[in-house]
Amino acid sequence: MKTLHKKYLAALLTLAGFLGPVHSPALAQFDVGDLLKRGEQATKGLKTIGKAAEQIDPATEYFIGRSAAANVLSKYRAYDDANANRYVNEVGQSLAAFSQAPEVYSGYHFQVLDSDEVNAFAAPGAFIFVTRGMLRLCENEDELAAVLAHEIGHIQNRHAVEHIKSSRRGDLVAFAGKTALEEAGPAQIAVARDVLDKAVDGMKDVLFVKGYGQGAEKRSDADAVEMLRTTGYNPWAMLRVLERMDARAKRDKGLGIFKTHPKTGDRIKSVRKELKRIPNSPVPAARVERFEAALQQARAE
Amino acid sequence: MIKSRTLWVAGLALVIVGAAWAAEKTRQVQVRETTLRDKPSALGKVLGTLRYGERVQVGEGGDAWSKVSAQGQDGWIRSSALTARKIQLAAGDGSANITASGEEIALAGKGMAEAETQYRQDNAYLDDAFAFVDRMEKEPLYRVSAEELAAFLEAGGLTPREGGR
Repeated sequence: MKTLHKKYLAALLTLAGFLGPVHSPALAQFDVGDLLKRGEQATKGLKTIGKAAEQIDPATEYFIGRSAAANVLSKYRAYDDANANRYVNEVGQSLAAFSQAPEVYSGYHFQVLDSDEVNAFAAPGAFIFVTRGMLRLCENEDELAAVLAHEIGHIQNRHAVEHIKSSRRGDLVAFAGKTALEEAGPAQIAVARDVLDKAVDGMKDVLFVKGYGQGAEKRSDADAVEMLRTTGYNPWAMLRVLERMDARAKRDKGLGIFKTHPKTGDRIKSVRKELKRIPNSPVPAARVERFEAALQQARAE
Repeated sequence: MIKSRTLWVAGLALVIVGAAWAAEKTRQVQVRETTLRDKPSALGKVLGTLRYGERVQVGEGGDAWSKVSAQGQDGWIRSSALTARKIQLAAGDGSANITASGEEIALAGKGMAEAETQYRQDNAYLDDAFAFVDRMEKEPLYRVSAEELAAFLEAGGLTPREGGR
């Protein structure tokens, strides 16, 4: 074959390689470019978090989140107060709608926990929990919004998945990347069970012992400032909450959120920088009044 | 030897195929439920609800919002609710117009639902907790409709800034 013809053929085959899989649904899961990318990532141990997170589908994350949420609920009692829970959902859903991750598999669900400990938890799916102790730390709706926005920050950055150790994360990515065409057989279920076990173990460690790490916390703080601003809340509420937490930190050292998020001073410095060009203003009375009304019982000692 | 003309014809055919592909992209919904809105805004009017696996045709894809044709009408969907990956529902082929009518659509046979069942069997102390997680997913207390959201924002003096990212 003449050289010029070879070049044409190569070009046409390359074009077919890109267009073929997309145009033919049956071949879609054999997208060569995608497979190569995934194989590359698996062997290199998933360098960038962003790429890894993209590979994991919302439905897989959701199942991990359900089990993580169940573990939270076995450790802490749910607080049975319709007013408080309804209100927390209204604030939380408002933020989620204007976050970078408004579309998680099952939507956002918020629950108050009956504990004096200052704490909050986020599980993919998404399930977000906040303790009565944390509600008492807040003085108005904007501060509650700051706490919830920070948790939504963990969801939108997919910190839960990212935190699973890199070797196990490879399994998770490989699993999530599969496109099943048939009902899952016993072998596939065993793989899924292994992925679930590892992921939930990882989540328990993060939520109750180690936290996500300072980098992830500061990222969530920055995202919370942005989310507050976009939704219409006063972003300075994030700083107010951190300052209150800092004041409590000595008294509650090693407990609840102070165990998993120890370096509050450092977070305060970073949030101050985020707020540099953002004006402060008092929280409107409406957002103090409805906060106090809805959470009157919850915040009572 | 392949004639140049044959190659050109083949090339042209591919270009046409490519153009057709580029003009109309099929995507599937990868979340349990999402809304079709009349504009690219969280406060846009809800034109319809789409369910996991449902197919849409994307006209204009953006980072945050995609302009689509779905359920016989045009509107906007959050791009993150859509995937180019193929979602096969366990109950047969995922055809274009899926309506859930309250029943859970079984997820694609990857085994996660079965894995959870096993996990629960092996950890019976989590029974009550899982029951509560189910409540959180189902009870109206935890659901805030588009109208309720708009009313809540307004009553609180909240004016969101949407960037159209």
